[in-house]
Amino acid sequence: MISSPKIPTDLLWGLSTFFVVLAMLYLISVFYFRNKITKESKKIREKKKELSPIISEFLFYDEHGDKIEKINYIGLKIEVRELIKNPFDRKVLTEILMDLRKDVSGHTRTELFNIYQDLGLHEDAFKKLKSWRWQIISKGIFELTQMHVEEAYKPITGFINDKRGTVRKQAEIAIVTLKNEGISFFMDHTKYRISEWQQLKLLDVVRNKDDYIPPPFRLWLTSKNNYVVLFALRLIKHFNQNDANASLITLVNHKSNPIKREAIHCIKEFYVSDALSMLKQVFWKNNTDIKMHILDTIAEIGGEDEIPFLESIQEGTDTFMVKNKAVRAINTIQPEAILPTKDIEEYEIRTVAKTSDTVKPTEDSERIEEKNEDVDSNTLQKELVADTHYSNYRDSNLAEEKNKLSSLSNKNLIPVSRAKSLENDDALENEKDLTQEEIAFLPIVIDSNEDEIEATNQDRKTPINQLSGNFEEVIPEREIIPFNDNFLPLVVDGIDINPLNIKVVYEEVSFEKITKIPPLKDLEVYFELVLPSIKSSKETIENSQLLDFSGLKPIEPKQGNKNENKVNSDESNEFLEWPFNFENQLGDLEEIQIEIEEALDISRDNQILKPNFHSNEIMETLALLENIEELGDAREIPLLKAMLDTETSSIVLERIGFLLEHFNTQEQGFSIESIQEKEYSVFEELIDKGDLDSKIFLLNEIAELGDSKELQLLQTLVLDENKEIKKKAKKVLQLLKNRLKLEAENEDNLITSNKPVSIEELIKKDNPDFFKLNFEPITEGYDSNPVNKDPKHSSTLFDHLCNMSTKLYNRKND
Amino acid sequence: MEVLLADDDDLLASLLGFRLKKGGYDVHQSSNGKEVKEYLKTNTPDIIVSDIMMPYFSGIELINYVRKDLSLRTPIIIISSAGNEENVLSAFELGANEFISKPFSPTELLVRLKRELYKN
Repeated sequence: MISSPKIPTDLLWGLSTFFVVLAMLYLISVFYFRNKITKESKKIREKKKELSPIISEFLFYDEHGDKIEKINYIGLKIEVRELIKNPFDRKVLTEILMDLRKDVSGHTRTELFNIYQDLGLHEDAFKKLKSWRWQIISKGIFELTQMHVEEAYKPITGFINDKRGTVRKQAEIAIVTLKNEGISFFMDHTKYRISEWQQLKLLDVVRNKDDYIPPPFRLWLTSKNNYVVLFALRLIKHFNQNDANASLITLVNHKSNPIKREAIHCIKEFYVSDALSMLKQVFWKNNTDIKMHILDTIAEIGGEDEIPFLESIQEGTDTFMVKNKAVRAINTIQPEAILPTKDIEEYEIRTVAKTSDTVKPTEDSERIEEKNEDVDSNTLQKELVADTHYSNYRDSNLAEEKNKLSSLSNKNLIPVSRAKSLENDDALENEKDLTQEEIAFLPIVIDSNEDEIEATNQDRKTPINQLSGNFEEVIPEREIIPFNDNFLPLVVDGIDINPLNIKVVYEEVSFEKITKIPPLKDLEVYFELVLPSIKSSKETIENSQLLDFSGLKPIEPKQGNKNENKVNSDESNEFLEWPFNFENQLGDLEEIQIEIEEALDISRDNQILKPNFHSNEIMETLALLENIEELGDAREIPLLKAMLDTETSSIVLERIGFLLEHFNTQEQGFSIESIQEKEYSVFEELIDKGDLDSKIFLLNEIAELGDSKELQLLQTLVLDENKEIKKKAKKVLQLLKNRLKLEAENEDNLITSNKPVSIEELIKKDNPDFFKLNFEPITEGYDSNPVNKDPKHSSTLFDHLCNMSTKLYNRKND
Repeated sequence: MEVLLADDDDLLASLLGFRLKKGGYDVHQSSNGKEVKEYLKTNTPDIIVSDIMMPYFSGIELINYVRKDLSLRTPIIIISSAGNEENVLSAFELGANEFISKPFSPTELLVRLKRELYKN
């Protein structure tokens, strides 16, 4: 009894469950990854949409654009700086730039490259180069190449002989792309095979380079790497560097057939006729392919001397292709040296020639045609079976011969009478369409009768040199103007002419006298813009006050200067003492002052100061000013200003100017200290986050719009590491200080705009309202008075007097 | 001046749109042929700048639609990848006024656009 085998159903159930679970897991994972990828691509798409306008803004930013555009640009730059902190955003930004690079060219593309580097996205690519995964490295190299990061040249050179083919090839292209000398480096260092495709790509890179001067590629014909030699030969051919003839001739003997072939191509290209003997010498050693190339080259550059060699090939070789090529070469050098002999039936030709007017298309001719076809095909088949390469050639030959025969049968064997009538019919038809003008270009043909034709036939029998010729005189339609060569110098051969004895005729050139003077109103007037120069302390040293020692040579110029200073300090120690402490406190001012000194330098190597003696009155004023400087502070500004208006001595005025400047700066210093805690510059954050361009732009804005709040920020920027920012900040600080000073002065001028008028003068004017004091004298400071801005301020006698006088003036003006 | 810019490449369209807007043109952007068709039913732009390869409705079809169906003489500038000779020829045969091959300079597009508008 046969019983069915027991099936372990539990196992089956178990297996089924396992596979179902596996399938479920697979489906879930597929679904999960698909969703993830979709989500990510969607996210990237959205991000791209968000970032592309920013990129567009950067690309088409116009430096000369309006202020709104500039502010937008700065804002976007700050925004991007924030964005690129996120790796995902960096990735998207890189993708955007890489995508756009493919579609745009010119300036826009260059800008793309700049943006890529400005945003520091190339640093990611550099990181990729450090990866151990070949695909990541390859991507990094590709990215750096596409975005033309020249800095990457050196790190990429390390991959030139990488074992991993993809990385190596990517590195090769990168090196050749990034720098012009890259091709030289590559050819010097590569040890690996350069594939044909790679060679094409490299050639394409080199070809599309702007302003590229190729190196002499003959230098690599001696390379140990045969692929380098081959590539060099191709580059030589491409760049037409025909200065390596000897090397080319030598390379014809190379073991490698591709190199040999390429060398022969170069020889042909550059017409190196010296290579002919070598080509003939190596001909028999080579394979068919090379032989064909050699024959081609001989045909191109050879002369009649090569014909015996070519004939020997024609006779001595069994290869059909080589034989044919040799014949072709002979005929190229000496046209029609070998005439067609194969399957030429003389009878047929004669028949056609002699009986063309009598033979009709008969069955015989058709049979002949068929026979010819059979013969041709049979014989050709027999001959060409051995050579497989010949199949195409055979087909075309067969077709050609067939065409010849058919043309013979269809054309030449038509009875003349019929043909004539047909031609006439055609001609008549054509004549109907053509106008006289259209056929004007045709020669005039005179119709002739049969007798004339016979006569012409008789003429044909006479030798050509006995034929009488009719010459037609060609008369030009217009009279030819005789060529006048009088202007040319007379050149006499063999006669030495002394140039000093040649008579020279000078042409008198006289100027036309202007008899009429144009009216004044018609004269052009050029206006010169004269700008008032800013007074500096050094300007007071006039040239007239200096002794000129330019004629003398100072023995120790440095020592001399020291002495000069000593003398001055001895003479007027009081006013020559310079408040360097202040300048040291504000280091920036010192440098600026040095710059001014340099600009105003009056070659002090050759000049020293004259002794300058002042009157007692001036000396007293100077002593007072010295005391003010020593003991006073910003509160003395009004007094100094009043003195400035009354004093006439230049030395005193200079001293007052200096003290005013000194106290003003001191006052601003105080105000900064007081503001520091309370006020906050809006530019601070922007500058903090911005890049170099933004910072420079913002500094310009500060110079234009900033106020005292920006002073602190500028002082910080003066110490910046970046030289450009440092320099700019210094300039802006100075500008801002000047502007603030001017503003303060303007405010003062609003108060004391008129010249100071003494009380006596006012009384003299008999103003009845003068003594009507309808205001309360305020002891606290006047708002616009800079002295009162100081919270530590406590009024001095000078201030009270000044305030009083100011208020009186105001009252008077009201 | 209104420009209809039809390109399925959002990035390039955004870039060109920005450049044209900066050049003083009103730009309407469409990312596919359908949108272009719908827009042209109700609007007549002064010039059309279109990519050849677009979903639903190619640039060539767009030229045909504008010239034959709508009988408009609006200048059309075609943008396409280099080396697509057949497309170029058929675009000109159907009545495109100008052809620009990628990569190109957006400023160049602006110049050509101005020239076409000047001609018309």
